[in-house]
Order: sequence, then C-alpha cells, then structure tokens
Amino acid sequence: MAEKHYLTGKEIRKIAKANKKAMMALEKEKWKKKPESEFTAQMKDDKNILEIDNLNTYFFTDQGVVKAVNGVSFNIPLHATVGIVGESGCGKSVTSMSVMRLLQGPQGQIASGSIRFKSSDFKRDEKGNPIPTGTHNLDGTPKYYMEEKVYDIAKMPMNEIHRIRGRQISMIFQEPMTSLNPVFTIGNQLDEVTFIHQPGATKESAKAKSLEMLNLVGIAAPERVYNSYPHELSGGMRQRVMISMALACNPRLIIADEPTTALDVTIQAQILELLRDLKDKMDGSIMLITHDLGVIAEMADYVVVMYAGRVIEMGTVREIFHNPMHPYTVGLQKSKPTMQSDTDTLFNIPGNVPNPINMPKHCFFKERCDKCIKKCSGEYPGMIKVSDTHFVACHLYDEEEQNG
Amino acid sequence: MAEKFKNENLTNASQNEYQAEIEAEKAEREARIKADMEKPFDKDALLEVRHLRKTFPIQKSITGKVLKELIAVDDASFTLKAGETLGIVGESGCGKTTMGRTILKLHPSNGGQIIFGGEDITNYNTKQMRPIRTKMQIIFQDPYSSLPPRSTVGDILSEPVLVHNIVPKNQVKEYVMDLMEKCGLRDYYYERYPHEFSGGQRQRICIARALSVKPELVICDEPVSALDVSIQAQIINLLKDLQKSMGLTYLFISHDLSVVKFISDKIGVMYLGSMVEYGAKKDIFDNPLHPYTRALFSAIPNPNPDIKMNRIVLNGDIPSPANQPKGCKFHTRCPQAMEICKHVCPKYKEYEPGHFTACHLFNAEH
Repeated sequence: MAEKHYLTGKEIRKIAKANKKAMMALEKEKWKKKPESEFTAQMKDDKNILEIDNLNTYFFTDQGVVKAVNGVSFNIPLHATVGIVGESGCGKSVTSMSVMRLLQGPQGQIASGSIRFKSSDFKRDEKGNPIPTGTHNLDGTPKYYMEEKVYDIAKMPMNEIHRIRGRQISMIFQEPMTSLNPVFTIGNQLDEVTFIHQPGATKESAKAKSLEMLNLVGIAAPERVYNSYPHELSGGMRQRVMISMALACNPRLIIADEPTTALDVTIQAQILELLRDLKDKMDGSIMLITHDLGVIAEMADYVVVMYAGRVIEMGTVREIFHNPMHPYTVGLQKSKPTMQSDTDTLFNIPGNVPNPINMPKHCFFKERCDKCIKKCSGEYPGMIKVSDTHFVACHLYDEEEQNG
Repeated sequence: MAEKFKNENLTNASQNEYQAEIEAEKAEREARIKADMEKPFDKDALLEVRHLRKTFPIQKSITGKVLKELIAVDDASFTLKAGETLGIVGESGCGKTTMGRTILKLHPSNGGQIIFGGEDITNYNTKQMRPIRTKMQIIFQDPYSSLPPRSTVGDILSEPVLVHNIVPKNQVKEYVMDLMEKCGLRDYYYERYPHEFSGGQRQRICIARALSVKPELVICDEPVSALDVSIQAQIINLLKDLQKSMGLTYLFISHDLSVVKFISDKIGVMYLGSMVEYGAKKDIFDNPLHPYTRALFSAIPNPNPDIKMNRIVLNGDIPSPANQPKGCKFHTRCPQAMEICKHVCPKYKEYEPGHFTACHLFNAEH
C-alpha cells in the first residue's frame, strides 16, 4: 500500500464532533436578526456592481473541512460579463451559490469574507414596507421610491436576503431539466416571480409580464408555452424559460451557472446568441460560469480562472487568451483540441485535481506543474500584478519581478 | 364523408407534382438496398455496415402488431478498415449510441447487414456471438455508473479474462497487472473499489476492462464527455497510444466535433437516425457539403476572442424521432431548404470519391 486512503471510525467521530460545533455557531449567526447598519458597506470602486473580497466558503463534512472557496477576491464591473472558468470541483459554482446565499446548510457555510453588492432597493418605512410614490406604472401596478445602497451579502441575515435574491441578482441554473417544477405550468412559475418581487402586482399584470418575457427570449408561441408543463418542452426551450424567469425582475446581476453545458452544440449556439442579445438590451452585468474556454472567449469581457478553490489568474479576455501566464491556464488552453489546430498528440496536464480536504501549504498546482521551481515548495504564492487588469498567482513571475 | 374526400383531394393536388419523384426515389432506394445487400463482402474491411435499420415499437395493438414505431437508426452504411478510427457525430437523440449498440448486437437490428471480419453476424444468436464478443468491445459514456461498486478493480479486470480463457489461469494476475500499467493505473489499485477513484481513473478502468479480452474493434460511446478538459486530454491521448501499440480499430461516438476531429480518420455525421454525410476527415472538414454539417461546424465556440465567426444558427429543435418530418428530415431547420426538400427524400450518393452526402442541393448540380 502506498498511502492510507481511508479514515477509521474513531477518527471520523472526532472530526465530526469538532465540525459540528463550528458549523452550528455559523448557522446560528446566519439566522440572527441584525439592524441594517450591520450589513451595509461601502464599495471600494464605484464602477463595480459586485465586489467579492477574501471569500471563504467551507463545507463541514465527516471527513474534514472542505475549503471549497478559499480566499477568493474579484470584482464584477457594471455592464460587463465576467467569465469564471475552472474544472469541476474548483469552487466556481460554490462562489456563485455564496453570492446567492443558496448554500446547502448547515454543512455549507460562509466562514469569512465579504460580498459587497450595489443594490437598488425600495425605500422602506420603519415597519419595512415600501413607500409608494402615488403614481402608477403602465400596467397599473403602483410605483415606489427607490434608493441605492451597498449591502454586504455575506453578513446579511437570511430573512433579509429576499430583498436581493431573485430581484436584483438572479440565477440561470445548469440543468434546465431539473430546475423547473414538474407539477406547475410554466405560466404559474413565471407569474410567481412577479408576485413575490413586485408589490401590488395583479394576476393580469403578472401574466402580461410573463408573456412579454417569453417573447423576449425568442419563444415563438408564448401563449402556448405559458400554458404548458415543463415536460412538454425541449431542453433548449426550458433553458429559454429559465432565462426569462431570471430576467423577469430586471436584475442588476445575472449569474449564469453553466447555462449551456447540458445542451447540444446547435442549441448552445442559439442560447449564447440570445444571452449576448439580451445583454445589450438590458442594463445589467453577467457572471458566466463555465468550463468551456470557447464559450468564455465568445461571451466574456473579463476572465477569472479558478483552481482548487482559489483564483489563480484573472484579467481581460484578451490578456488571458493571448498572454496566459499561469502554467494551469496555459495547460488548459493547450489540452483542448480545437477545430483550427492540427496536432498529433494533445498536451495533457498530468494527475488529478487534489483532494479538497487537508490542502497543502504550498501552491496547489505544484504536483501537476511542469515549470516547478524551488520556491514552489514554500508558501502559497500571492497575487502578482502584471498589468492594471491582469493578475496571476504563481512564483515564476515573482522571481522575474525581483530580477528585473 | 364528403369533407374527408375533399381534404384528400387537396393534399393529393399539392403533392401531385412531386408524387412521381417520391415514387421514383422510393423504388430507386429499394433497388439500391437490394443490390448492395447481395454484393460480396469487402475483404479489407474489419467492419462493414450496410443499410442498418433499428426501430423501437412505441405503440402496439392487442394482437401485438406494431402500430407506431420510433426510427432510431435509418439506413446507415459505412466500412471500417482495421486500424482506422471512424468518428460519429450528431446531436443527442440522433441515434448514434443506438447504432453503436446495434452493431455490437446489444439490440437486435430490424434490417440491413452487419459484417464483422468477413462474417455476416446480423442473424447470429447469443451462442454464435460468444466467440465474436471478445473481438468487439465497448467503452461506455458514464464511468460512474458502468463499474460494479462491489467488485475490486482486480476482479473487474480479471473476470472477462477468466470467462473467455484469454490466458492460462495462473497467469491472470500478471496479465491484469500488465494491462493496468498500459492503461496508466498503479499496481496498488488492484485491491481498491471503484468509488475510491476519480472520473478519469474510472474511465481508465473501463478502457482496461474493454481491452482485457484483446479486442479488434472498440466502440467508444462518448468516452470523454463526462470528464474535465484536462482529464479529457489524458484519456484521448491514452486511447490514441493504445491504438498504435495494440492495433485497435475504433468507432468513436461523440457530440464534440473537436474531439472527433482530433482522433478520427473518417467521419460520419448523423441527423435523426440517418447518415447525412460520410467521408474522410480531410474531405469533411475542408469541404463540408450538407447544410447540417456546416451549421454544426460553425456552432462550435472558438477559443480566440478576436475571431468573430459568421455563425449559421439553426432555428428550432431536433424533431422527435417518433414523428419524423416527410421528405428530407432536415428541411424543418435547414437555412437552404427548397420546395422539393419538403416532399422528396434526398438520395444518399457519392459526391466525390469516398465522400457521401444526402442533400438535394448536390443532386441538382449533378
């Protein structure tokens, strides 16, 4: 036997006991009611819509603590598309779930860090009810006073999160097959979004809004789709319905979590075309999570590359594709066969993604890296600035800077 | 009654101009199939498939008569020489997996011929198939569900060897160890269970299992689509190395065109159960003929942010195979559809040597 690959019952019980204590403390904190001043914050840069700062999201399992997101920081500027790439298990979905506060509790917890979001919420009176202006929208629903505020989503108590989730940040999930409720019609599910997030909405106004949304995402017969059940639609149609549901409240930020992975290439092309189109029409930002570098190159303005729960490189899409610096980013691009290239063997990154429990102190990519230097056995490399927008976490460039 | 008669007349009128062509095409196709079936077997080919057809009944009457059927594979033909790789591409539901399984006789076929190594195996029963099973193997798509969870890797790999008497009993362990090394598995994995491995390693076990009986033909049914990009490259390289060292022939089924391009010598493009284009890799990629192939190629996202492609976006979804459109199956989504496409099924013919396609656009030119 090379190494021990299992835990004894005694060890598991010990870990579970310690974890439960930490987990329950965080869970209690999550539900505690707080005054608003405790979870408002200031944006570092006014041009950003979302700033993630040193986010740590842990899963407390019986095998140990899985640091799924381990000190991640990046910004999403206004009206931009930020693509997050990485292999499965690198924490890209968990990052988005942390922003939405949809982590599976009590195991999944945001341990520390902050997620600052510039929100535009209803102005509320002392009781927390929105204050109407007295005028009405075109569809007859009352208008309300709005105000801009910056909230720290990571510190927001769970009973306040509905102010942001769904209305200002919405999500398109990966599996259109499983994310719609099979026992309700599409219309029923779409109307529900309007009912929840738009005070004063009537049945008629909700239906009109839903039909408008279905039209917007390019569904040819909105009335028929409105009355049908999810199983009657194909995968591409369901994904369109999911997108229309996400757009129903004019969100400021849309998180698209692998929106095309479950679809065929020809349908993927349709959906990407639609997302690009909608981005121009609506006034928001997109956080696009995918493992397909081709999709990123087509859609994104900025790219964040993640590996084993950490950001290893980020920059504009041109910087990442024309001048990739981290050995992992380079390897990832070389290992994908493309329609243009004509090679005999593919470059491959040896080995597997490391076990997320008990991560080493040194660079997580060290074991698979072909450009390892002495320094790699030391501390985890910090973020090194290459240009104003381009950052990389690798000791290779550390050295260069000192020499030059 | 009168109304019904009137309706019939109407549909007849609209179809009249094509009626002759529809019938001519039907007669021609039947004659061609009959003629092809009687041809002698290709001696160079390891696998020859002629006009393969597979249908599944979806509605039966009380007496067991099939009222409605789903046509999964319709008139697929190709030849595959030893040591070559044929890539089959198509969207989900186009029948590529069913075709692979029908060739292995995991499903009985409903027409056509499967000729493997100079033998017509189409009507072989299970007993007759048994010696041939060692020569053709399959690697499944999902490595998470295709390994028995209660057997160790050693058991999984040595069982087919023992069943088919590949090596004497006392050499089995040695043989399996050797095989594991070839597939990039460490020797101490022998005692472990499948759940202890990651997806890439499981796929290596599946490959080792398929190769344990020394097959000639391996059907790879989307072997990399469940894996991450960096692991995909490892598995594709492994498959390529094994092909060189063991002289394997692959039938590589995938929906990912870039992977198919990388590994194949010949490519077949399928749409709704039919082969719409078939030819050498160079012909297909340099000169795609069928509008579906062209659309499929242009749909692949390009990992270069500076290149903005002129994309052909197909409208709508792939129609249900249980309710296929008349005429050319692709006419509902085709950007170049003509009136004739709605009525007459296009002929599948050789456009240039070794490059087949079924489209009216090229029938007219000839």
